[in-house]
Amino acid sequence: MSARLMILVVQAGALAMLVGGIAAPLQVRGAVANPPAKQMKSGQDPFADLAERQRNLALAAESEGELPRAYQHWEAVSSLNPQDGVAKAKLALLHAQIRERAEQYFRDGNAFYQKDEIGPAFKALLRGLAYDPTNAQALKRVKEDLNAKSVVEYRVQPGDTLETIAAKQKNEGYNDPAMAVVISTYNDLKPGQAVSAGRVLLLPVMVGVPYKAPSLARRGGRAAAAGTAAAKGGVTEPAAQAGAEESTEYDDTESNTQADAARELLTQNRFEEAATLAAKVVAEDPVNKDAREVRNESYYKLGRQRIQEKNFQAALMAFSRVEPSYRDLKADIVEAQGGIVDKAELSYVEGVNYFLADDLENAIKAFELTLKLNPNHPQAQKDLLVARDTRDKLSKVR
Amino acid sequence: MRLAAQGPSRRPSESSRFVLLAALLAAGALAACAPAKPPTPIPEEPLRAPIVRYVAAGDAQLEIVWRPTGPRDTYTVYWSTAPKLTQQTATKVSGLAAPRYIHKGLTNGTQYYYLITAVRNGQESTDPASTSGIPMKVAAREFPKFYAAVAQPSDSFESLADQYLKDPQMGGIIQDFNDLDAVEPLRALAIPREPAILGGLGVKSYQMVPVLTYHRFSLNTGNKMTVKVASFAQQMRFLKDNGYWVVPLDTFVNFLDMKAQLPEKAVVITADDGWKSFYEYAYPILKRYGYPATLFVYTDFPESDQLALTWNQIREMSANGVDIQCHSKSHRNLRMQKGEALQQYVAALETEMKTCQRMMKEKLGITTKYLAYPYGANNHLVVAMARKAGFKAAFTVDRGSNPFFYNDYRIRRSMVYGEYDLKAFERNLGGFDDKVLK
Repeated sequence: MSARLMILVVQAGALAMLVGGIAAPLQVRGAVANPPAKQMKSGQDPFADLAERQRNLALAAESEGELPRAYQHWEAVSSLNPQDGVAKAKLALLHAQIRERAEQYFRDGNAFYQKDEIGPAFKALLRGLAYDPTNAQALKRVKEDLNAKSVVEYRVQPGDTLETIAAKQKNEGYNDPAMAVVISTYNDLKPGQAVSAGRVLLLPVMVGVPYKAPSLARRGGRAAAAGTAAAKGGVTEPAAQAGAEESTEYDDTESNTQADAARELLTQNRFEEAATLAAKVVAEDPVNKDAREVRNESYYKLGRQRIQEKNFQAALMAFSRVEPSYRDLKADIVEAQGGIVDKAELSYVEGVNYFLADDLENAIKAFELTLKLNPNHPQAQKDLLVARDTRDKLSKVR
Repeated sequence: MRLAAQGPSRRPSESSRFVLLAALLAAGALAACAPAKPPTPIPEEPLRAPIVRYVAAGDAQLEIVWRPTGPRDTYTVYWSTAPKLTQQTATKVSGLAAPRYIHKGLTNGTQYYYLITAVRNGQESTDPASTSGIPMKVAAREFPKFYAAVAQPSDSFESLADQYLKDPQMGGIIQDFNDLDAVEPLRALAIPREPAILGGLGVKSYQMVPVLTYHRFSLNTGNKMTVKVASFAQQMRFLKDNGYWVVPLDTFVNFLDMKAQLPEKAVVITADDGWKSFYEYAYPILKRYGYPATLFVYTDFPESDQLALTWNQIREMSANGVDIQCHSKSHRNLRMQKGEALQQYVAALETEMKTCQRMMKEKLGITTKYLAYPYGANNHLVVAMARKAGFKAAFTVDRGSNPFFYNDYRIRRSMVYGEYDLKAFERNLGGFDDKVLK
């Protein structure tokens, strides 16, 4: 899965979270047509007024635009009075309208889906399902394809081993051959067992699992520059435990608990930890205002701290993670840039910023310039390859 | 609050529990669930009158169906056409072995009144259940997609759902479909035979279903994780009085898969860990209301502490309809812990899930389908491992209600805290949302 697709999937998951907010109150019942019950007299048909009540409910549902519900009430009317011509006509009309609308929404939804327009796709497919809840493909898209995945399929390529797969599936959060143990366990394979080309393996998504990959440690915490989903886990050093979960407390919500914990870290001037934790909350819950505020403030203060420490490159990296709408950082950025004498390094940081902004072309240009200025730059070569690879993959799926 | 840090609270003695319970009953706090009884080590229920499920009317006959009270109990039915019948004045039919009585040779249109008692070892229950019915030539009509049924005087939406849909908790669907607040005697109702609004998805809005979570219960000491029994009784009463329908977890998961329709005001009740106080206080109240509930147990806990359930108690509740599901083996946080190697972590996840499943099978003979993450904590790998272990769905403690399209392995649950008043409790109940479809 490409980085962009991964992001879209995460966004879709976030969309599901977004829509799961505060629920509207229920409507008042009995507002349509419920005359008081009459005492049944001898010989009276006890079902006499049922059809009439169902007719009123059908008309009310129609006027609300709830056609499937209206259809069900008309079916009740027609069952009770098979000779009712109006009910028959309504059923025929509604049947056609429901089918037509369902097809239209499914068409729209699938078209949006093909264009990676996740929000509109989700909305259209949901609307289609309201008219036709039996459409299995639409249901799968809404329930699975547009939700964050925890397991992805991988078709084994010639020459693959579990270790090479674990080293290269970065979008799924893999970044180290040692992570092969996850793949072997999940697929009931022995450690190191050979896998034949063409076989489909199931890969648990490791994004958010705070596994520390040795190969990324040398990159001095710049894993995010690669734009991989793995980077979102904040991997920094081998077997390091920073970021490992040890909370065993309950609170209102997991995300609120963590947002509070991040704020606490911020108040203790532990900016990096606060930022990492808050960023993780935001990745899971993009509408969490508290977490976003803590993340922005933490990165800002981290940037200021780095300037004080004369670590201008790290300062720029931190500032790049502050949302532009949070505060004006122009002066801070100029100050940090002024401190960087190494133009190659400055170009590299620009490349990273472009990458994080999903501007792959400019990221590639910046990394190329970095290498022109300093052909031995330790990270630019790798990140250039990742950026090109991501761009190529994206162009294939589009 | 750290679960492991919860020290044992002072347990009132059996006699003081009686006094406290009596005081609560006198104060009306438990009026809805009276006569709640203290826990008993005897697996057999105390002798009390049966609860009537429904009265089915036919041509010149009535069939009265009730819930059985015990495996060896027999039943006595008293009947009369006089509304104020007593066991002394009514006609007695005794020695009924099955929990039903078909009364034939009746006059259509006449109301018949009944008292029903249970008999165990020659002793008759002292609190007879009462009901009535009116035989009629045609009390119900059957269509391919509907029943049309005339409500009996004793009918409720639950009893109609029990009789026609074989599931009393689907009464809310009958209520919604007929847009009524209450059943009116002799009014005909339409009863859909198949779900139509699957997943609660309408054209303009979708249903949000809350899953409530409790942990411990106490007669007199409430705190964040411990709900006072009076508050719990009040909350259950609130659900009843305000038209909420408590539905089983299985039905809710079918709703998530868009295979089921739930009543518009549906709610799911769960409790975590396996505290004895669930058995002592919550279980009798749930039973009194006929509310289904799911207990997520971590299998290291039973019999490990005097405050924990015993496997016998869990077995008894399971046999009586409480759904028992997995809450891991040890209640460890399923996220990766400080100092934990990846291999060790993956193996631990597998052990936590599979041991729980195996123990449930061994101890209770059940196959568990659902997992509640300890502390609600999860990540993608935990979710993936839950899938691999064969769980069909898994639950967090992220507060909020669930639309059908929500992730089956990150289902939200709202914890009910001990300090909640009814307003705070109500805020956790669901409704309909129109944000996406607007």
